[in-house]
Amino acid sequence: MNLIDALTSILVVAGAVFFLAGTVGLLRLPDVFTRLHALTKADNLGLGLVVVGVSLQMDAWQDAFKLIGIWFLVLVSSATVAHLIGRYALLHGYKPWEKEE
Amino acid sequence: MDTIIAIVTVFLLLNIAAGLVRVFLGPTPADRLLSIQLFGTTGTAILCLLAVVDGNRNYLNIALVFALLAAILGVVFTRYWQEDDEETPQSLEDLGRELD
Amino acid sequence: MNDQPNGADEVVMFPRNLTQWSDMLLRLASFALLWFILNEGAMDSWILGVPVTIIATYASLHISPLRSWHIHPIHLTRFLLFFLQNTIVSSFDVARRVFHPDLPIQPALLRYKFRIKAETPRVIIANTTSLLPGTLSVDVTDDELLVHTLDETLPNAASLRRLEELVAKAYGLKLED
Repeated sequence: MNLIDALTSILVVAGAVFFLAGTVGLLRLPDVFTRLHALTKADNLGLGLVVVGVSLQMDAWQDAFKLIGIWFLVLVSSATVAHLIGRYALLHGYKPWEKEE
Repeated sequence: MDTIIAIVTVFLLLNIAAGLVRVFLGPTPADRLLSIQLFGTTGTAILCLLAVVDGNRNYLNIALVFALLAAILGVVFTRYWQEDDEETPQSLEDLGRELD
Repeated sequence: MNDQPNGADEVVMFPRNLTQWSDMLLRLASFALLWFILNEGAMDSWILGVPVTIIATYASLHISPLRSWHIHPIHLTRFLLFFLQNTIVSSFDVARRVFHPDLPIQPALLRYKFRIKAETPRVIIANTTSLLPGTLSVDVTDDELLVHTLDETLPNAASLRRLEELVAKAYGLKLED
């Protein structure tokens, strides 16, 4: 196993940990708003790490660019979709969960 | 390395399966919408990993289209949900605590 | 066009001065770059690529008018670094919270008063807010940003202010206090 392969493995596994964080958050957190936090943040970094790991394995430079483009696209779209979901949840009168004192 | 990537790919698939629990549990339509986010991001990651596992770079194009479709799906579903609802949505004007 | 200190948006369909020309050229160049990447640099794809690039630029004018302010490359880089750093920090923050057995969260809705007046920077701020540690934008009104925070004990106001300053600087806008 050479250095680049090792680096890819580390990045991809680290990415998987963040994807797990997103899923655990989706299941554990109390309401739609907090779940949005987990998904938009953890999953995006997870994808970022996977993308960097995969781009190290690509022979053509165009593929690396394409991968970064994919990440950027997902980043922008998931921030926008998170905003929309959060907004409509509020518009429909869902009260954000609050910690009991 | 190929084994590790293959394992991670399967692991991400399991993540999607776990996310489906949230679709079943709900309880609100907004919670179900969240799964679009999960499927979009995780699905894109799986396709990127498949490009390495299979050694076929065409998977990247699929990943690109997948990312685009996930974005459009999210917007369309929130729109549809808004128009579908009979109740007049409440105003957001007096929500939240002032910062500063 | 620069006599509007906060860069209030104005619909411009054809470039009228140097700033607007540079914006138009920047858009053309970005769409051309996108085409180049998507087609993996294939030269013969430009038969379609040139008209598509021009149509895309024209369509983009309908969605967002040509800007009437300068973009500062150094401040833009600084903003991008801030963005990258915070994406990483916020993901670690969320991961730590959800893996913690006690689930240490203290969510709240907060309002933040915009100091920037222009629409495009506000949209950028709203989108970036969702990637800062513990904050998620849920609504943008005329002069306020409604934010959901995962933990109200975090320095949310300070990081939002910092974000607004960076975006303002990248756009060459002055903030009123």
